[in-house]
This record gives sequence, structure tokens and C-alpha cells, in this order.
Amino acid sequence: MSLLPFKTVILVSFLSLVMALPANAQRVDHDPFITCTITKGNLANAIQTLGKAANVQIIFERSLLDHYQVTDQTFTGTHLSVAIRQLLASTQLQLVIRDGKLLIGPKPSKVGSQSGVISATLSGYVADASSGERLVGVTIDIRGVATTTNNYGYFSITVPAGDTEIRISMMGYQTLTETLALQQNIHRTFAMDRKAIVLDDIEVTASTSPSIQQRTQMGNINLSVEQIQSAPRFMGEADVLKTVQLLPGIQQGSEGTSALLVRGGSPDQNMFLLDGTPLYNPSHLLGVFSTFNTSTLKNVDLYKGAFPARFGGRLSSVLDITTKDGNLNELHGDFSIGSMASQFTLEGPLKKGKTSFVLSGRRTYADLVVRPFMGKFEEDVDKFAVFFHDINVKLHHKFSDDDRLFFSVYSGRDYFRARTDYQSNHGPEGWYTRSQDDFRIGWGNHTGTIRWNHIFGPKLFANVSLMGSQYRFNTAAASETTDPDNRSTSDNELISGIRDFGGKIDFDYRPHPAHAVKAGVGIINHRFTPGSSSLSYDTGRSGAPVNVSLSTVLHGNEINVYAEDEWQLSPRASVNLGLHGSLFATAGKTYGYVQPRISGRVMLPGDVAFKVGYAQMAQYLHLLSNNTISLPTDLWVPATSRVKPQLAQQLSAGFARSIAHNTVELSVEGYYKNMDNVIEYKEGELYFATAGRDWEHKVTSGNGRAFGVEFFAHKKVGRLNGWAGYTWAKTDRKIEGVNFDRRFPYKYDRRHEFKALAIYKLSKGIHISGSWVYQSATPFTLVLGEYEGISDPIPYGYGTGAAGNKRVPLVNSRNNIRLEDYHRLDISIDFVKIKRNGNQRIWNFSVYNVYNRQNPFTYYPDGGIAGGGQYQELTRVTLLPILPSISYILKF
Amino acid sequence: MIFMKKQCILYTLVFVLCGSISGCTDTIDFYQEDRQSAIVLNSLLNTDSIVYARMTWMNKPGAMYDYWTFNEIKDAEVSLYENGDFVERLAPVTIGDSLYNSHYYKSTHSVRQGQTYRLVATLPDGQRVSAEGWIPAQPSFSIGKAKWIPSPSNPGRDETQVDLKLNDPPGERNYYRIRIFTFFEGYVERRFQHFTWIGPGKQEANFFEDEFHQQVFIDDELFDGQSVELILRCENMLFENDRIEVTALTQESYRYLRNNAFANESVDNILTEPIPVYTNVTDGLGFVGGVAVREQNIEVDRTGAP
Repeated sequence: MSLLPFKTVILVSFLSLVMALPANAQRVDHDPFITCTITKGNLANAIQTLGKAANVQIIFERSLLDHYQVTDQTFTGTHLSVAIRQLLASTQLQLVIRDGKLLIGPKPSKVGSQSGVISATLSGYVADASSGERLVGVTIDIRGVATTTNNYGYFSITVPAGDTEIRISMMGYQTLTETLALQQNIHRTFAMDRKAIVLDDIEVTASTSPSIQQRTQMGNINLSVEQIQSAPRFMGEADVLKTVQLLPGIQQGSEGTSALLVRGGSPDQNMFLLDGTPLYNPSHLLGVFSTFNTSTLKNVDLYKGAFPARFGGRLSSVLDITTKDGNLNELHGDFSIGSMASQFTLEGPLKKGKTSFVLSGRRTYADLVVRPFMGKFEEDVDKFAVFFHDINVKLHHKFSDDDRLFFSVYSGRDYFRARTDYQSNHGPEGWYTRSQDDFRIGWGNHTGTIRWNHIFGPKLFANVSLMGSQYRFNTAAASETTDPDNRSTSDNELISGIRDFGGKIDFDYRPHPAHAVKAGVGIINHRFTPGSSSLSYDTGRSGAPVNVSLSTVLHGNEINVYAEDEWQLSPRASVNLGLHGSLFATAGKTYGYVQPRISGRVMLPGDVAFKVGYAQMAQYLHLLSNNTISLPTDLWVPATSRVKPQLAQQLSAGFARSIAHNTVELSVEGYYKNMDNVIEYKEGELYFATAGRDWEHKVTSGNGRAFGVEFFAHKKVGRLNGWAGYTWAKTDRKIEGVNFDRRFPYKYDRRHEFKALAIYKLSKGIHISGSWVYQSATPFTLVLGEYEGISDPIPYGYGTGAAGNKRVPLVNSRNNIRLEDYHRLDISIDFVKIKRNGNQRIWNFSVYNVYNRQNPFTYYPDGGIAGGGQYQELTRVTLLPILPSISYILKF
Repeated sequence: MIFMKKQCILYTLVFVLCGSISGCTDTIDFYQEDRQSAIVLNSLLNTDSIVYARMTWMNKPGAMYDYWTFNEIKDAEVSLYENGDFVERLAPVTIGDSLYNSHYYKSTHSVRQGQTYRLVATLPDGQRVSAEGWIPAQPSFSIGKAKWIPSPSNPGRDETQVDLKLNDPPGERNYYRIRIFTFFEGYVERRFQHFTWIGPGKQEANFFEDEFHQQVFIDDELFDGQSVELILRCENMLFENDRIEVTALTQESYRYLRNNAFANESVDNILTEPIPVYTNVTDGLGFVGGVAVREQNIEVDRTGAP
């Protein structure tokens, strides 16, 4: 396949380059004579030879001239322009002399000249100049028409043809300004230089990216990896989800966990995409750490409302995480040792400029910390392990400028094991019994993705993905009891989880300067294993060994189709129109929903943008979850004929404006979200059940509401940067059979919330950051007293206790009490040293919960007996007191 | 137990984790404020039986009170109405001996199937509470001979399996409570057995659940109007002095008894949500509702028993 039709020629003139090279880029006041010999070879080299002979700089785009070859030629006393035109005679290129400069560019497009349509498309990639890493979210601005690179670093922008200035900007990089002779479609890769080294990344000059009032999308926040790594660390670990929790509208679940609760939604309503592949349980150690190793991350995008049509399958949020492709030019890496975990990341070229790799690993040593304390809990424990690990592998190969292939694998796992060995001796005969119990529990995610990027033309980009994702929980218990007369054994295992296989194709089409179209189709096969168990035992007596296995497997097929158009109606108004359609088939039942997505922006006087968005979402998966904390035992199950898919509608509207020369973004956004068919275990059902075939009968469903308003101030640049946000919100549920069918506050219904993150560069080698979180009290269900119950129509026995009448705990309603507010200050300081060889050494000291606030994890009524009677009191459980940590990071 | 229950393991995990990052507990001043007490009226009205009603005070949180008993209300006037018509005033009675006894209000008339009864209780100070319920029909069931079987979850122990055939009347939603208990001649007190079950809506046993309960509540959503077989697996060996009790419940009785059973099971579990228990007493707490209790002796097949 010929690449040439998609290659366009660029006439390049960096204004800065011109300024920087005044000696070389002198004006051509006359057409000098030259005498020189050109040898057979590359056209670009030949042009350079001519330029040297005339002592004139000739401006051209080398990659375009590289396609042409020249033969041996000799010029004697020939005008430079004549010699150049002679070399260009058999090409599609031409020489233009403008403002005294010699520029080589494309001949005018026939299509353009015939039709009279004077427009041209600039497309290509933007990459890091040093590593070749494709950059996501880079802004390309041509005469006020702007676009951004997609998740693969690709962009396409169509503007009126002619000489034009292009500005390419991204936080952390030097803004690139070039003058292009955009006479024809041009495809090119732009390289951006980092602004500075180390954490200077966070200090950026005035951003030239579109201001917040110019962006149509609302409810979207982009986090740079530098911001995540600069935020205070928890136990030495930078954590993307904990940083996301500092944003308005997003709450943490239980204290210390990485669970996200977005605008009144539940944890299962968040889509975590790792290179486009869903992850089902993105946390370790019961939610304390997220599975994302920040050293491998390239870009993090969060959507919490006004979802673009390309996303579907969850009600409340999409966290779209892109990992590094790997350095195409040099071997680099980093290594860190923290209080809880160590990690390494290595990236570099397998074939320079063509193939790159990223390899990363992380492991905790929590078991080494906990093991010495185990004796206090259980003295018979003879084997103990608790840890997690993550492994990321990614390969990237560039077949050509138009074709790239990515292969990425992630594997993460938590593991816990405790084995007890108990022996007893009794009696003078030495009778003894020995019992050994071995318990193992583990859970983890494994994903694999193959992606192929292909550019069909200057306006059409496509990505094809094949992906697999698995979340698996397993627990096993084995025991052996031996006494002088007998030996019995028992083995039990339970497995649950979800496994996906799927594929999708996404198109990015820019047909017109005012339109950016995205469309695609995908299919996923889900395999749910809500409960698969096996049991075997041998009593050692006369009975034969017994083996029993039970398995519940459910399947579901999901098809998603979408199309969206970002339409620039006028410089003051734009709209994003989209439609997402999905089908889900499971166990003889098929559901289908068409979900419109609309968002719009209009500029008001005072340079204030008014934005509005509406999105419908459908979610075909449910998470059977304990109602108080998220655990790895929570089970993913599909919608069935009895349990319907979750549906949501969200309307959001707000105002946005940037101030201080576009360095501070201010926004206020209100939202109302309605959620139908949210499920919950029926009151009284066992929460730790393995969902067998009867799980559908253990759940009940209902409606959820959430509404609120979020104020957000975000300073992205400067020595001091960060953000502050305040949220007023309310969310509740009305679920059949729960709380007497009455509406009740959701367990994370926090009315007021204030969060702030500040990152300050004290000096070149010292960086300080701090975050403060305040949340008003969460509701919880508390027993307010007790009274006598009844279980039989006639008295059996005497006295209340003997009569068998239960004591009824008085709970007037679900989540009936709010007690204490939550607030916490975290700080972090980095000491950065750059060695002579360029390596960077960072010592990080972080303190979590600096003033040791006793924030409640849960409460429970307790009591005792005194003075002949019983008294009650309320006990507060606090999880995380002040926690200092230290980590060492070496980047090379 | 041969293998550890998942719940216990998760506790262990949580607390190991908490311990490793030095979690702690402390007491907060919450129950000290004075809270209003409430009148509690309880009565389960059994088909073709006289009525026993009991009145007590709710224990105020934070208050000092006797550990075992609630303060009884002995001076109330409790009236019984049938379909809105006054029937009689219940007589106060004390059941037990001089040391251990309980105070009840007792009727002389029996309540009848299909009728609605209301209890109205008035205290000397004028406080008044009331509640009503209707009386369901007796359940129809039969049981086969119980068999001793090795425990699937504990090879060292035997269990008992009882096959229960339940005949559900069609055209209406029916609710049941099933219990197995051991009775002792000469004693009114009964000892309830723990058991699990397999049947419509519950097709398999779960190895990692603590699923043996003293009572099982089911409704006929999945077998309306049919005769269904329920397999009851009792965690102990049963003998001839054991009985099975099947109680037909009204929807209200089902809500109350089931809620209350679950609430008591989860009251000490900090990881599960406390459950609001249904009450139908106006201006008070407690429950008045209809039930229809039927019991049958269990015969045990000891063939091949160890």
C-alpha cells in the first residue's frame, strides 16, 4: 500500500528557528550562481549540497524529500534556483521564494485548484522529542481552530490552505510554534521538548491550550502523571486513584481505600480502562492501593458526567488510563523503594526508532511487616504470607508512519495464606491429636491487549483492539486431622470472577474544520463465575472419600456501537452530539438501549462559557457487594431476565472561565443523576454468600438519585499549582424491601466536601506538596436501643429470655445517624538531586494524616455491666492514624 | 470446624490489615442524651387459639437496665376486637413461679382463620397503642423419615436429612416459617436445631457460608399452588423427640419475624448493615399479627447408622 497519497509536503519555518539561526537564514536578495557536483542519492542531501555551495539555507521538510532520488549531476555557474528546479523537475515538489527565503514545498493540489476549495489538512502525531513517546492530549492550534491528540498521539486538523502559524502546546513541554505553508494536506510527526528536567514538569509557563471556556466537554478532568507523582504519597506509594479522590464530586469509600464514588454512584458504576481494556477490581490489599503503577502511566482522563458517546457500560464514571509506549531511542527506567512496596520500570528500544518496550514490576512486603505481629493474633500460625504484585509489559512497533502495533499485558495479584499447626497431648498414655489448617485466599486482574493503529488518510484514523480481561478470586482451605486411630483430610476451594474477551474498532474522522467525528463498534463476551466450588474429604473411617463440585457459570454477549461529532457551530458555540447503542444477550434474554449523549457550550459576555450536558448510560453488570465495605469477594453478575440492567440519566450544566492569563481555570457545575435498577442484597441475606444459582433471589432493586453542585479552581502552572474544590451533594436510594420501602440516604451521602491540593516548588531541589480533605459526616445505621420481640404465640418458659422472645434492635431507618466529620491533612516533600550523569535521585518523605485526626471507619454499639445494670456506649473504630513514610526513587 | 468460614477469614484479613497500620478504637459520647422510651406491644395470634399479649417498655439507649428483662407494663387495659367488633378485655396473668415469671394479657376467646383482630392497649396515663392482624390458614405438609448422613462440611460429624413436602394453596402469596426443635417431656422449653435447606430458589449448599439457622423463612413465589419438596439438613443427629414446625404466616408476620431473625443474627457483625425491623403498632413498637402453627413428630430411619 502506497503511503505517498497520504504524505504531504511541508514548508517549514519555525519563527523561533528563524530567530535562532539569523546567520544561516539570510535573505536571498539575488539568485547566486553555484558550481557544484551532485552525486547519486537522496534528494534532500542533494538540496543541502546546493545550499552549502551557495551559502544559503533552503527550508524544506526532510521526510518528504527523502522519497526522491537524484542521479549524478554537475552544475557549473548555474543559478541556484535553476539547479534546484532541475532537481525537482521529476517530483511533486516546487521551489517558492518568499520574503527572500527559499522554500521547497508541494506543487499546488489539483483537487484544490480544480474545485476551488482552499483547505488543507494537517495530520500526524506529536511525540516527545527525547523518547519518541506519543503524547496524549496535546493541543494543536491553527488560527484559532484547535484540536487535541487522541489516546495514540494522533491528530488531524483541517483549515483554509495557505501559510499559517501552528502552535502545539502541552503542560510540561515547550510550546512549539511553526509557520507552515499549508498548501496541501500534510502528514507529519511533531517532536516536543520537555520544558525542563525532573519535577520542573510541574512548573509550566502560561498554557496555550484551549481555555476551559473553549472546551465543549464538561465533567472531564485530565491528570498528568507528574501531578499524580507530586501529590502526597500514601505509605510511600504515589497512587492515581487517591489523587483522583481529591477532585470534587469524587469520594473515597471507606477510610484509606482507593474505591471511587462518583457523583452519588456506587463503586461498581466506574469503568476503569487500562489501555482501553476494562479492569474489574483495580485495587490491592482490600482497596488500600490501586493496581496502577504510576511509573508506567502516560495519561489519565476522568469523565464523571456528560459522557462522550464512545464510552458506555457504566453509569457513573470512566477512568481512561493510557500507559507509556516505551522510549524508542534510549534505555531509561526508574526504581523505587518505599515503606510498603518496591518497583522498577525499564523502557527502551528493541530496534531504535521502530520498536520499544516497557517492563515494570511492583511488589509489597507487607507480610514481612505483619509476620512479627502474627504471634499475637494466632500463636499456632506456622506459615503466613500477605502481599501483592503488579507486572506491566508493553511492546510497541512502528511499521510505518501509518501503522503501529501495540501489545500490552498487565497482571496483578493479591495473596494471603495462613497455615496453622496445632498439636495436643493428653493423658499418661501420650494420646495426642494433630490438626493442620491451611487457608489461602487470592485475587487479581489479568489483562491483555493488542492494538493496531492505522491512518487511512489525512482525515481518518483507526484503531483496532483485541482484548482480554479477567478478574479472579479464589480461596481454598485444606485441613488434616490425625490421632492415633484415624486420619481425616478435607479440601475445599471456591473460585469466582469474570472473564472478558472482545474486540473493537474505533474511527477518528475529521472531515471538516468544524467537525471531529468519532465512531466505532465493539463486542465483548463476558463469562461470569459467581460461584464455583469443590469439596473433597476423606474421613479415614469406613466411608469412601467424597468429591463434590458445584459450578455456576453465566455468559453474556455485549455489542456497543457509537458515533459522535464535535461540532464547532461558531467561535462562540460548539456542541458534541452522540449516540451510543448497546445490546446485551444473556440466558435467553436480550436487552438493548439507545443512549443519547449531548453536550454544548456557548460563550456569554465576559468570556464566560455556559455548558450543558445530558447523557444516558446503561450498565449490564451488577456487583453483589457487602453494604459496608468493598471486598474482593464482591461478585460480578450479569443482568438477567429477573435482575434488569442498571440505567442512568444525568443532566449537568455549569459555567466556566479561565483567569490570570489562562493559568487558573474556574468552573461551577451542577448535576442531577437518576439511576434505575440499582441492586442490593435483600435485608438479612448473608452478605458473604457465594452466589450460586439462587443469587437472583437474594437481591432486590430500586432507584437512586444524586444531585449536587461542584466548584472547582484549578491552577495548572507556576511554582505554586494545584486545585481546590467544594461540593454540595445529596444522594439517596429507594429499594424495594429495604428500609420499609422508604427512601434513605446512600451510605456515602456527604453533604459538604472541600478538597485542596497544593504543589510548591520551593527550590530546584526541594518540592513540597500538601492536600487537605474535609467531608461532612457520612450516614450510617445505628441501633438506637432495643425492645422485646416475639417469636411464638404462646409463652414457652418463664421470663423474657427463657421465653425465646428475641430482643429487637431498634433501627428506625437505614443510615439513620450522622456523627463526625472527616478531615485529614497529608504532606509530602521531595529532595531532588540530579547527578552529573543525568540520573535523578529523589528522596520523598510523606506524612498521611498529619495532625492524627481520629477519623471514623465505623461505629458499633458496645456496653458492659456496672452497678447491677447494663450500660451502652458507642465505639468508634479508627483505621489510619498519622502515618509517616519514606521512599527513594532513582530515575536513569 | 474443619475449614474456616469465609467471614472469619475476612475479619482476619481486615484486622490484620488494621493491626498492621495500627488502627484503634475509642468511645464517643453519644448515648448520654436522654431519649424517649416507647411502649412495646407484642402478640402472635395463632389460628384457633387464645391470645397472649405482652406489654413492655423499650430500653432507652445509654440507660441502666436489667440485663435480661424489659420493664413490664402490668397495669394496662388490653382489648380484643374481631373485625372491628369488641370481643373482650384481656385478663392480666403471670406465668412462671415466684422467682422467674412473666406478665401477659390473656383472652378467653380463640381467634379464627380469615378474621381480622385488633388489640388496643391503654395505660393509666392515657397513652394508647394498637395494632391488628388477620389469621391465615394452617399449612399443609408431610415429612418423610429422617436419615442420618455424613456432614459434607465436616467429615467427623453426622447430620440429619428430612424431606418435607409442602402443599401450597394456589392463587395467593403464602409465607412460611420452618423450625425443628427438640422437646423434653415435663418441660415447656424447647431447644431449636440449626438446619439448612435446599429447594425452590435455593438449589445448592454453600460451603463457605455459615448457613445453619434456627428458622427458615420462605415464600411461594417460585412454587405458587404446587407441592414442593424441601430437603432440610440439620447439623446434628435428630432423634424421636424432635419435631418439625411449619407456620403459615401473613405477609406482615413474615416481614416481622424474618426481619427480626436476621437482625438478631447480624447485630454483632460490624461488617453487616443493621436491619430495621418491621413494626405495625400505632404509637408504639412491637408487632401484632396472625400465624397458623402446625407441628409434626419426626421419625428417624436409623438404617446404616453408625
